[in-house]
Amino acid sequence: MSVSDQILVEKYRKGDYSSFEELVKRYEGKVYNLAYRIMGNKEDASDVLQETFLQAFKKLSGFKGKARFSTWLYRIAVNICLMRKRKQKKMKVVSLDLPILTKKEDEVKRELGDDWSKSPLATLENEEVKKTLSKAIDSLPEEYRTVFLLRGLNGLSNEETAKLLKISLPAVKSRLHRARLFLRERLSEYFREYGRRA
Amino acid sequence: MIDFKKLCELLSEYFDEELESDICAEVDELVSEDFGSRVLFNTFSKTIELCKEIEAEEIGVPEEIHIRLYEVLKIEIRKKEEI
Repeated sequence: MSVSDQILVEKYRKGDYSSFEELVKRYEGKVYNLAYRIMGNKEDASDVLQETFLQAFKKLSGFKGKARFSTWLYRIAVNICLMRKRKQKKMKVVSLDLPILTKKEDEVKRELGDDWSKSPLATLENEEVKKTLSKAIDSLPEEYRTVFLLRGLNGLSNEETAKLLKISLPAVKSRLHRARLFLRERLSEYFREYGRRA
Repeated sequence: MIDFKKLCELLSEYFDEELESDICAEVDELVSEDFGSRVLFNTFSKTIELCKEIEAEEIGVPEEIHIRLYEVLKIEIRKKEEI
């Protein structure tokens, strides 16, 4: 049976700093994935990964254990990502293609078309569907994407996500829901377009 | 009785199992009776399923980044041990 995160943190507190390596081994993939999906590129994701674990290593003695170690770690990673994003935005000044989840996109029209959920093409083995969905996730506005990734990719609960992002529980639920509606709409568009092509 | 518009608002709660059972029953009834609602319900459910699959696909940490991270951390660990 593997040692719990909490025991590894305790070991660190007692001066066994090598226990931190085990924590890195456990979470480097998750942190890298989160950073990659928020930042959108390998270079920024690798910088965020390194900075996250460096900060965690330095701050771990102050970790009170009120939240899970993973939640605490993701908070550090998300903060670093958001800080970098803010800096990048300042440098950009104006972005012509900044994706915005407008009310119009959020409105769901009554579907009279096909139910594509039953299509054998509605699978990630279909590269076009996979690409459409990945692109749609990447184009989610930052505040929606962060909630979506923390809930899905990193398996946090609504409550943990709310605490981590310092937003209300209804805000987490609303952002997650709107993100899902947005992604569904993008997939529906793909299948409508596919139907026209076929 | 809920309608299509209300269904749009409730879908995430339905699939996250956060709805009361009587409201779930109303959702099920609407979905079984109304074609448009059924399409929305099914495609929303499929979207969640595809999202879960894509989330499960981990992008591996590139080897050079993994090595660099461990090198930097080893230096930090050494520094801390020397104090």
